Amino acid sequence: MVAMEKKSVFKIAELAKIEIDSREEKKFEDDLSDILVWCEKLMSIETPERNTNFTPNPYIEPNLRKDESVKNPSLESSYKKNGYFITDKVIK
Amino acid sequence: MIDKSILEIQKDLADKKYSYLELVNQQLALIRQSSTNSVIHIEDNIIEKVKEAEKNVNSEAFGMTILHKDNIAVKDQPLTCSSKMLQNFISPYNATLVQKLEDEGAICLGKTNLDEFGMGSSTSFTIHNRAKNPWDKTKTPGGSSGGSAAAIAEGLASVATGTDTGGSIRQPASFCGISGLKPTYGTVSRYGVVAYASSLDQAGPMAKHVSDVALAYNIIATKDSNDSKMAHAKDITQKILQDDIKGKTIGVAIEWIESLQNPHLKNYYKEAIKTYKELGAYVKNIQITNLEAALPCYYVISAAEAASNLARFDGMRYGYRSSKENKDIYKANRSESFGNEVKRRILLGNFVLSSGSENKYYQKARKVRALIQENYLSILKNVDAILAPATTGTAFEPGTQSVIEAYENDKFTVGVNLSGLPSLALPIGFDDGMPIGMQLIGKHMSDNLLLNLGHAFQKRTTWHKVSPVTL
Amino acid sequence: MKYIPTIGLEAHVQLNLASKMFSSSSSLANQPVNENASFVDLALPGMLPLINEEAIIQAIMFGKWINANINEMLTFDRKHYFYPDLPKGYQITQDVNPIVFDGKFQLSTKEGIKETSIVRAHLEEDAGKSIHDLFEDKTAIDFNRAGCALLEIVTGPDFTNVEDAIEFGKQLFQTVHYLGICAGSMKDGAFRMDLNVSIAPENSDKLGSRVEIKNLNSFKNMQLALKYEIERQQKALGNNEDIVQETRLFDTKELVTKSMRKKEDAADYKYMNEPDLLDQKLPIHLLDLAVKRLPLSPKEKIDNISSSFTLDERQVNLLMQDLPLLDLLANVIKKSKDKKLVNHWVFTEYLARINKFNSSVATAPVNGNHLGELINLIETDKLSAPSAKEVLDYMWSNEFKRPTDVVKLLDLSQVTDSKIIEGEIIQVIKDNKDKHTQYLNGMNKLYGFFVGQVMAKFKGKANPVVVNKLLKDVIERKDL
Repeated sequence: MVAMEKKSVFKIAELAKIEIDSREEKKFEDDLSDILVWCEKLMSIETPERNTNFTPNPYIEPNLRKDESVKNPSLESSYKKNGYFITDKVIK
Repeated sequence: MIDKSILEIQKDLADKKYSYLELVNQQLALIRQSSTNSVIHIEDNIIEKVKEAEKNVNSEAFGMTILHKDNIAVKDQPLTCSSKMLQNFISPYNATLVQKLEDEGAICLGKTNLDEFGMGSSTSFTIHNRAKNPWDKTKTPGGSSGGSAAAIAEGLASVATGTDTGGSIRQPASFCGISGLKPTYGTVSRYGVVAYASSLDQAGPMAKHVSDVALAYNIIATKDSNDSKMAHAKDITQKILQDDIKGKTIGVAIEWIESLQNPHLKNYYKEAIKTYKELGAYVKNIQITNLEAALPCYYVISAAEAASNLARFDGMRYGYRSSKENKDIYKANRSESFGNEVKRRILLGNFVLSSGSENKYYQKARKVRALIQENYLSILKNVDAILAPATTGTAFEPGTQSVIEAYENDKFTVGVNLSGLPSLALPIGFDDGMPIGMQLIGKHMSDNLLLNLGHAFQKRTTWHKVSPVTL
Repeated sequence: MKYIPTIGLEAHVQLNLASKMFSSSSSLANQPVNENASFVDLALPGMLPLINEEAIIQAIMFGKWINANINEMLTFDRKHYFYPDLPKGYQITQDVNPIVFDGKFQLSTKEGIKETSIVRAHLEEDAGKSIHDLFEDKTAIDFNRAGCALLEIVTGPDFTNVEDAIEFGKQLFQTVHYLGICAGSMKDGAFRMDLNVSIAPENSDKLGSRVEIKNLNSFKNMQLALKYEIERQQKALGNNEDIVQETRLFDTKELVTKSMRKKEDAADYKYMNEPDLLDQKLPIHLLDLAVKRLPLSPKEKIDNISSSFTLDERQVNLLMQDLPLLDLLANVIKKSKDKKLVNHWVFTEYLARINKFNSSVATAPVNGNHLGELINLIETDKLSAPSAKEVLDYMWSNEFKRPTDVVKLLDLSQVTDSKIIEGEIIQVIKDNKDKHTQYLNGMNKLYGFFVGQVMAKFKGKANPVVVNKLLKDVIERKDL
């Protein structure tokens, strides 16, 4: 039985840079637990080991870009000052 | 005017029954009157574009009024993805598919409503008001391309684009009684289509007429140097579209049909099968296994890819910035602007990718995915197309489903995305006033065949010509 | 207790490309801020990566050079973490299938050639630059560097002393420049090194706790950091303290390593196969292209040179260690065949200036072509040796000019005309009659005085051989 523990929800939220407030916390835990139980169905499917690489479409043609530089448009943004992107300090 | 197919409209324009500008203005007026919240941005500024288009009256999409789903980039128009994160974001560029349609004379009238970032099946997870099904406004039009589907049903444009990652074109198409194509993965460029799950997403056209879907697909299904995972789609000429379908084989997913709760629905599928027999196709029953696995497989893979693709939304270079003081800016910018469904998917995605879960779900899902594709391909060795329901019923009321119930809406559609196959949804009847749809699933690169089969069906039936009582 | 250090190195090499790893923006350094940050680089919604073919070729070239395996598959992965200079919230890298693996690097040391292992080399993209002190209380970010192609080269824990580790760094730097796959300096951040250091008791077969020191951008700092860290670890173990496995930074002002702000556990990068790029077989034609572009090995070049120009062992060692010097010599020999002159001017005069100005052959202002031309001028009597020194010094410190132009500018053309020289000799003798008489009477050492006087008349520009030849005769004349 796989259940989302309270501690793990918080750990995952940290990893995802998502804050869950205490009101939503229980609902997220429950929802995620339900989803994980449901995902357990996957684990019981027999999947033989094989070496072929999966592709969503075998007709996709490989495509590499030649090394040529192109003058691309810059982004106009209100988050820029003197050309730099400015943000609050992440690590104070 | 708009109930006509584009070919008919092109004829009208050539005969000068009305001008392109008159057509466009009429559509804009209809959009303004609409009360389904299907269109969330109206682009009034089109006179120059119409003038530009009128220089080439013979271009393929001349006369095509189009609405783009709001997760597809249209230059100088909003690209909100129905999210607070992008609520003020104006796209500085055109998606390749948008550019190709514009180059062929299509006029974009605005952007349509969707579930946030494509995650949902009701178009109610949105910062705009929830979209309503034009056949019954208490019901959802489906999702995530619900806005596009509703707009087409209401006759607001000839074509609308959607994106289909797990059924998001086909399910709303079915709920709104219109046609929609989820193309073979890799035939339509994903450049400019905001990524939800990169290995599953495909943008595709939706319209009342399969012939219009084909027209649009033919234009957008071209190789693009901005997308390195593309396959070369075949042309869809009028000849191919109009081809006789005698002798084509259709495999019916009979167990899926029998599993439908509502007994009336089964009759419509049986009628549709009968129609194909009358058209000269061979019909036989087939069995699709691994259904139980497909849904969790889809949700694990799509959540992992979604969590990854949404990592760029941090408010650093564009997008929402929190005004809270003394905070972790990443957490604040993201948490204050993503809706709960998106958060759920991001958390699930992080979980399955994190080293804590030893990645077991994700690795397993990738293997199961290969099995599912094999399963479809082995069936398709013996038939040209699989006929199946796209939904488990007709449109539902929003807010009446649990999270898992909502996920299970997609059970007939996700296998197609996992396998990269094409699928065409089209209307086959009504139950209690609400549309019923089916999907035709084909081998890789058989989009033209599916369109041929769909067009043949529409020459024989009139479901696609029925419109909801509107405005 | 004697401790032996174990050192492993990671180099991040900026590849020599016109555009970035996954986007077509220019990868030129030192451009106006955010001028080369495209929508792809800034991770706008809907953007997609596109693989730079030349980056693949350059990586393969490196792999072939070190006799490594070239991966059959070309696949990429996403490495996730949140930081303002990482626009997508993940870096596209190669976790599962590095393009190059299991190679050997021949390290030239005082004790001979040591074979060190290159465990892997893979392609990835660089991040942008965060600047924390430009605006008060805010971080400023320049994304010009975001997306530039990097080849990350990882050695095994092969080095047991600091000198070898530094020497490896230097020779790896030379190698990537020699191959033409890296064109920038360490100062510009084109070649950055991370160090992994642990120490263990002399006869122990277990390795100690590994400490990583990140982002060293000069060999001097590498040396200081390694020395400091080894000492620090030795002190700690001496005090019975454990070495914490962690990442440290080298403070270039205080010259110590410092602990980075520690996060809870090791970062979880949630590696995932990159779904926007096709997993494909490495295209064979790129392998062929890469092999064609490989330069001759240093040994091959030295053999070529040796066929017409004898080198002693000391010189061979020097050339093996300094590949730009090897190229310089090859270029000089194209212009001048005089063995003595070449030997002197390359191995003595040129190298002396390299040392004096503390530069390297790769970055010196005078290259092999110039030097060869200069030597050729001496060879053909157009320039005297002392004047040549002046020319070389001038070329070293001034804006680029060809040797012949400098000679004109400084008016140093050597005089070889016998008539003119003879005329001056006669004049000098006439001006110094008594000394001439003394010479004629047997004071032979006054010969040097006359040589000096004649040379002075020509401000050193007279060809000494001609002067000597003529003076020998004229000085014996009694009729002046």
